[in-house]
Amino acid sequence: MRKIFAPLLSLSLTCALGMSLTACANDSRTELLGYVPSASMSSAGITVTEQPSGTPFELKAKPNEVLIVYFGYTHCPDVCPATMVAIKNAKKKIGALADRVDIAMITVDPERDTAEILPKYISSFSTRFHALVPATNTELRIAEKAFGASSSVTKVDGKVEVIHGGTAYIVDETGAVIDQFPFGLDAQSMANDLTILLNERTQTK
Amino acid sequence: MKKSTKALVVTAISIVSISGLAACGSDTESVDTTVAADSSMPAKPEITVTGQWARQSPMATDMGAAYLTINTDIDDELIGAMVDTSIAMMTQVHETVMGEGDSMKMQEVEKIDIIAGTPTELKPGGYHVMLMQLVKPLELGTEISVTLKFAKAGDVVVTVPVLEEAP
Repeated sequence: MRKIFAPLLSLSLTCALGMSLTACANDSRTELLGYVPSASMSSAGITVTEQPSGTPFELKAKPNEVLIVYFGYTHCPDVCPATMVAIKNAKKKIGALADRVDIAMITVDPERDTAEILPKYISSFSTRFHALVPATNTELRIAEKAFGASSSVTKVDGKVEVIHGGTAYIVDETGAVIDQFPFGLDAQSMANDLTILLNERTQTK
Repeated sequence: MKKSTKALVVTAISIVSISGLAACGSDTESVDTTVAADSSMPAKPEITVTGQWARQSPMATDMGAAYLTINTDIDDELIGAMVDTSIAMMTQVHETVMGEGDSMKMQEVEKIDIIAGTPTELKPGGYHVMLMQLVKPLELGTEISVTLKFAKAGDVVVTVPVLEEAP
């Protein structure tokens, strides 16, 4: 598929999901192509253990920046790297604005994604990141709840089966979720949204 | 079904834009590979595989995935996939399935029905050839050989370039 159609497809997907009707009705270049939560969502005050430092990281952006929060796991060869590569390429498309985009990946599989493994994994996609390995199941569940996310790791016949959400959440400096990238949203659409959100933050300062 | 046709010895011809590769795969032209039967078979190919690529594997993981599109002249079934154990210790065909909300999980599939005249896509978020226990990382600019196993057509070998994202 040629890339020119990708934003249109993503837009169609968003429209089909009925999650951002305003985006569908207007010029796609000036509107968000992800979907804005219908109810307020915030991860303010919620922390997950960052590795390798072992210190708590609060799920909010630095002032004048945005933080992309993603729940995934490293034994995921399909959707997780697809999303991480799209984010990486979106950052490439927005030039200097990318300096104000931070990434936090929270593993839903902390038993296998140790303090050594997760930082290395994310470093394949970004030089600036937070590798978050929940120290307890409660820590993971509290973080997920803030985003309306969920996951499970079960062992079936000796094989590990992981169920997780495919959405990447865009969080502002207050911890509010201001946009969401569903699985499959292409880099151009992500770049569109990051540009709008970062410019808004520049103008309001 | 008992295999009634012999295994195809195939030649995979990859046409890859050199300039595209230099750009780390982000703007590569589409990669087309035509799989042709050997000289004892009719000239018309029964199975054509296009757009194949394997994802560059991130650091610290031993899992990989390969994607491609299958076209056939006759109905068939993809019943498995294989790579050499110098690449990965185990290869399976998997499907990412969407559950409630945005939840998704991967599961092994026993077979994929291939319908004549209808392209079957193995693509991110859907079917994929899953490479498990990678012996070494899948590195950008390299190629791997993937054997697709069909119920009727037998084995079809495809040369798959390692890219960052779909061509």
